[in-house]
Amino acid sequence: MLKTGDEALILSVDHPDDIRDQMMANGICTGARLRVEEVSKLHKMMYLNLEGRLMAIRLSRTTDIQVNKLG
Amino acid sequence: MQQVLCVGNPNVGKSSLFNQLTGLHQKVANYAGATIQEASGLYDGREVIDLPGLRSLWSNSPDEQVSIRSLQQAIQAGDPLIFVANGLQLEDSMILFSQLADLRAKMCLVINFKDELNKSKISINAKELQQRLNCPVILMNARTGDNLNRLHRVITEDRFEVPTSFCRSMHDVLVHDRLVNHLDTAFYAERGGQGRFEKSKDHVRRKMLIQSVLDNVLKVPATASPLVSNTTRFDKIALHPIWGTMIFLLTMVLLFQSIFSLASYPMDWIDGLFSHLASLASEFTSWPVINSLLADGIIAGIGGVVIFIPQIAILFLLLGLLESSGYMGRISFLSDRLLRKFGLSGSSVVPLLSGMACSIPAIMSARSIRNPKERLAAIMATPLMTCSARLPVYVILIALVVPQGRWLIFGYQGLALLGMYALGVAATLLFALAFSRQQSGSDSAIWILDLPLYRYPHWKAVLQSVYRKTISFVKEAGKIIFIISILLWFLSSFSPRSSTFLAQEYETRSATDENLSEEAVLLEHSYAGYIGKGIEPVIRPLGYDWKIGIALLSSFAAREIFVGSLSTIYSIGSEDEGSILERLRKERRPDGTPVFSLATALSLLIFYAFALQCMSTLAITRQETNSWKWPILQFGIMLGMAYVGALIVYQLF
Repeated sequence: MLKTGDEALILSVDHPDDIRDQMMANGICTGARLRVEEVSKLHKMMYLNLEGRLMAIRLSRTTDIQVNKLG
Repeated sequence: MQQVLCVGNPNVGKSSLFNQLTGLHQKVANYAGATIQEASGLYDGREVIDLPGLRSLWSNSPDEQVSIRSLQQAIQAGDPLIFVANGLQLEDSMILFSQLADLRAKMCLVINFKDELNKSKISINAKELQQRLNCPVILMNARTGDNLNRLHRVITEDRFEVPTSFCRSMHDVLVHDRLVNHLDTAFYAERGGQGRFEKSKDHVRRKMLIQSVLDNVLKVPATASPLVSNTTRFDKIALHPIWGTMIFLLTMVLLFQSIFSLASYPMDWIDGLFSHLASLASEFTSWPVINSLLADGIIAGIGGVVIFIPQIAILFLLLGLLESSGYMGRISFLSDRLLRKFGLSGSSVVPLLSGMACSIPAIMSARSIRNPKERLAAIMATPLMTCSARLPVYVILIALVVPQGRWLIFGYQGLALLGMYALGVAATLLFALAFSRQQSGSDSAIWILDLPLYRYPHWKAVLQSVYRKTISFVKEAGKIIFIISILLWFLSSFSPRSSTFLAQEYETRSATDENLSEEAVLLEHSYAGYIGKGIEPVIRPLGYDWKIGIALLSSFAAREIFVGSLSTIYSIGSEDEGSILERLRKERRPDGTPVFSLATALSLLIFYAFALQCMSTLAITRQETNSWKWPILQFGIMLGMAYVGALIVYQLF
């Protein structure tokens, strides 16, 4: 599970096709590099810096994203 | 006429560029999805079209489908594209660019946010990139128009080119001859269905290709951009579980306090001006009928709406600042978890908050919601949000019954207005919950939220937007109010009874009622009086007399007409030329009690909070749902809620 401050490389996104397509359109796909800026348990959201782009994603959707932690 | 399309990812500055080119004032805001439908304008004899933002040609959401269809037609017709990319996220923006290059679109690449690139010490060698892509590349700042002259030359000299280096590469890797030869955009849909990993492979290959094209062209410093790091630093507070929520609540309280406190002075001036105009008009000509039409009909009706311009302008200004600064995205973040409990999500925040200005663009902005069930719930519930047309009604009723005192720094009237907005939000959420429970379909749409960088509000664009929206409000409402005021004046000034009957009636009744005026007798026996009395049995349980009934009836086309109608009706029934508020305060029932008592005012507030009195909203619901079923249901349910709610409140108080 990713924590605040983690940097990682996305290995794969194991969601059903429609969800994976939307993630891909938003840049969440194999090879993308991300930094976790905040994990908010209250809001159930993960705040990401994805190659300079800031975005938030529901925590429930992050469990099927396989990553390789960097550093 | 040749068309030129502005295309690119959401929130990259397409509308700012479109405005620079056409001199128009398309809405610009600092969040994804600000443009919800195509806009067009003229530039040097060409039609420039601003398309809603698009992430990829794989996209299938309703708002993005609008752009894909237009692109398909434009490319087939050989029309050129101005591709606007965010310079701070160039690699990301280029994915769509490469897809359009596959389709052999003639393009010019505009890399926006030149000023922010400088601040972030990111360098882009535009000349080298132009050579590599084989199409014009312009670094510019769409907000200020910096380097617009270069784009001007590209457009006027038709220097758009197909970025062949991309096409050839993609052709070798992915694309079959049929795509290149026949511009078969259905390729994307078909390829998507062929294999689970097809799109992923395509995406990764594109990224690799883009990285190779940008190699040594794009130089990004090792340290994070100060714009990004400042945004993430501020977000630690703005999205904090406690501080973030407090900032949000404080923002909302200040917003509604400002609407009352800042607007009070100009409102007093306008009120005084119209009272003066009415008194001048009452002796303007030697024909009393014309004087009455001017003073009691037109001036009273128009004045009833013009007085609210300051408050409406302040509301639009503050909402514009929220949109322009980038804070809107943070409100989505903070509210997603709460909204999920009501069948909505953070992506419903834009329609809901836009609904505070006007339901029509708000309902259209629901196109960006991907889940059909949630989208329908947002469309159905949004009209319950307190729109600017409700503001005049609330303001006059609150001013009638809520004292002007203060609690700490908060005025009672401002708090009461905040309460009405809170009621609107609560009603919207409960309606959405009830509605989504009745609907089948999945709740599990993916939810990703773009958090734009915080930016200083673009004052010029915000002020222009305030001006346009306010003028539009006055024009639209003014037209209807002008006609209805004259109609109401006619119906209220003329009677089907003879003048002898009216004189006898006055004589008989004035013997027992010394306060009775001839005007009051005429009004009671006028056409409007008979119509009002006809509906009185239905509205009496809510605490309304027949005069309020007429105003209520006239406001079913558009609710902002209510105050103008009240103003006209009570002007005719009164010899007093004072302000609207004074006239309403002095109005008495036959037993001497005020017509606008606390119970009546509260009942009216509840009625207007729930009733869907806006023809345009019903029309737009029909357009967006492609069915009459939903607007009819929406109208019926909300009218029922308004009637029952007003009845309960009146009976309780």
